[in-house]
Amino acid sequence: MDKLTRRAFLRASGFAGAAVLLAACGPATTTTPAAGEAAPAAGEGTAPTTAPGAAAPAGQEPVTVEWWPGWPNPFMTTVGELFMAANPGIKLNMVLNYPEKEAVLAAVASDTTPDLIEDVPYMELIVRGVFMPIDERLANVPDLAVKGGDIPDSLWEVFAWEGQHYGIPSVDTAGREGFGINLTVAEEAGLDVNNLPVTWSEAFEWHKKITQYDAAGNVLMLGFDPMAERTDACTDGDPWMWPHLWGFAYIKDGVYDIDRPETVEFLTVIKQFADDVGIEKIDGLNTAFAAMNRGPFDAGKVGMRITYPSAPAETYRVNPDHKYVYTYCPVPDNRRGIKVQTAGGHAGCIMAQAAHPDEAFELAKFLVSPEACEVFFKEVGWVGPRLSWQQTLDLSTYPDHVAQSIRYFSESLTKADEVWWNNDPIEGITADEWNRVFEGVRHGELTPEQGAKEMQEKLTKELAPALEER
Amino acid sequence: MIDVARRERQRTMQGLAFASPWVIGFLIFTVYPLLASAYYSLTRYDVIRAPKFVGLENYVEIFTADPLFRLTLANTVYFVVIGVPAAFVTAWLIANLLNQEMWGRSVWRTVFFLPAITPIVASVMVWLWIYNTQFGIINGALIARGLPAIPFLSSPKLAKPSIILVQCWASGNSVVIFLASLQDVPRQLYEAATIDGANAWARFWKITIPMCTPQMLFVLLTDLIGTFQSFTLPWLLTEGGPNNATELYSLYLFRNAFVFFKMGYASALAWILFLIIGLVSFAIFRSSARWVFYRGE
Repeated sequence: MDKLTRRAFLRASGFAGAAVLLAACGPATTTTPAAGEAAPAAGEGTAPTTAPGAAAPAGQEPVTVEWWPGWPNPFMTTVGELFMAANPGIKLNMVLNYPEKEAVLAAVASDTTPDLIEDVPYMELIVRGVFMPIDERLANVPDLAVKGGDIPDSLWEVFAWEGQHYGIPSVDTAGREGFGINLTVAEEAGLDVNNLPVTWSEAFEWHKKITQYDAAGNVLMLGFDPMAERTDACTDGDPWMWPHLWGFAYIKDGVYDIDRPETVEFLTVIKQFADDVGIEKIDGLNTAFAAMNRGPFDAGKVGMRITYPSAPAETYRVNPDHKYVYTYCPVPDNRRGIKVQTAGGHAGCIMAQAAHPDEAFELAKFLVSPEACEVFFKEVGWVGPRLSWQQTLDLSTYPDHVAQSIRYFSESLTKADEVWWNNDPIEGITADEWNRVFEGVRHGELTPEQGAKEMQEKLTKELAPALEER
Repeated sequence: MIDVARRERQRTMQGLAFASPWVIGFLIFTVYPLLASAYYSLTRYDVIRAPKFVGLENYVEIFTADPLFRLTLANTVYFVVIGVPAAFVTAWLIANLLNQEMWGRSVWRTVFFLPAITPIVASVMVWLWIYNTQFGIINGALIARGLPAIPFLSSPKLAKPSIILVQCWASGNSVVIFLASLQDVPRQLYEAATIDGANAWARFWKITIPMCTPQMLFVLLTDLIGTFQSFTLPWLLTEGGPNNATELYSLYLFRNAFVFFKMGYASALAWILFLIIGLVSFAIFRSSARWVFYRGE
């Protein structure tokens, strides 16, 4: 055997280093198909010999599906175990962490994506071709039809782009907005809880009556902060409710329509509440209780709050002594009587680079199965989107007001007069700009008119590059 | 003669071989990203799709059409101009106090150094409670006495100073450096000055400060660069709010890269920050000839 000389070692090291550098300097492009482009056919190139999920043949290892479930909670582990028990041919490798956007980007860029993912900025990733369209697969699953199936049509459209669908709605995906009212606090303020506010004018009156201060002007009880919780709600599958309450879509057919009188109106309403109490006091109260899911609302320090479908059960667990109900959000006076709901939430999405798309599809289907819906509901009170399962909801363990509120969230998508959703390809920028504008308006640095105009200009400018094919 | 040259070359090669893990790491993880970001700054790039070359478009937009660039730069300059001197002076004063003969000196030194080694997230959690408008130690006491609460983090005017206060609290590293420099000042200089009739103030100004200026330069530069790049504290305490009052340059850079999918734009922002830091560091180095004294010069 030849002796390895120092010179030979150095030469070899030099070549190896140069090779690594050259490889690293290569173009950092990825090979995800563009949105709308046909995804690889199921099992393409590796035709499965057995149906996905069926027990692996003797001596063959089960397929391992990489899953980023979105919530690092025990209920997701429970669902994963149920799935593996029902699909012995599939093993799950669950990465229990909130999938931060930078982690998703790094995974896509390095071609190390999971097979299935939830709780991400869906639309921004859809338009960039990160997910696989699933219409062909859905065509073989009658109860998951996107029209007239067991999941409300509107929920499918939240995860759709240019006629194709990219995710199976699941987890806590139902009617997305609920106007929560702490009846205990309202009664103490002398308000008639049989006549809840239905317009923003009435909500402001209630707010005035509920809000209390001490002698030094510190807020003891806040009536209503209309921006709390839903402030960043046009990302990750959530709609942006303000335009919808005023009866318009802020983006339609790829065109923003924000600089209009209705936007000025709702920015004025938002400012009205901030001016009444003082924005620093409202923000201070919210951050003081930031450790709680719904902040001061859960703590019984705020009378009203617009919140998510998870609220009735969660708030009941935190504060069972107070009586909360959830109903349709207030509308402007000229739309009194119109019940508005928005569709949004989460979906299981198969990555375009998925190594096991068939098995990932099985998992996405399972997340909306009655068994999974039951786990989500029993463990955290989240309502899943499957209509037939919702009919079987056992609410007997909850008091009437909580049961009524859970029913509101599950039924409002089919009972509301108007159901809206967003397909905003730059929802991250929209959310940021929206937050910047409402902060500016609430702090008195922008007029509502300026806010509407600035937002229109900014988003219009940002949209084209995002949709550009490269 | 030839043998000497060969031996010298061999030694050089051996040295390079031993240093090669670092050199290769430096090339791959520092030089390559640096060059790549320079290229990406000339492109429209969202990390997912291939970059598209747009020339200087990102830079033009940053300087001509981006109000948030100006705002975040102004916020960052505020932190540099107010925060760096505040932390510097705090650390210097604490180091001087800890350099005195006192009871429990080692304990005090540990106490002041602890914030520097406490994980920043844990520190922030503590400060969030201190600043809490309802239950914080300060506001709880104020409210109990019938006084209005202080909106430390929810007021645009107070949020910046509140974060700077945390920076000052966590300046234990600088304290240690200053303390080491103070202990390194030759005693005989003080003795000679005392014999010459210099009082304590004169000794401090004429001996202590000049002898510590090399360490001061180091602390000033590292603090300055760290503050220009400051991210974690404002991100965890305020996320840039209220009303963009603590939206620092690096937060905005991060948002562009990972929230807005604008990695090309973020790269351009990074290069501008790099140049700003480079220019300021250069100016300080140039000025240091007039105020930094090295022993033996």
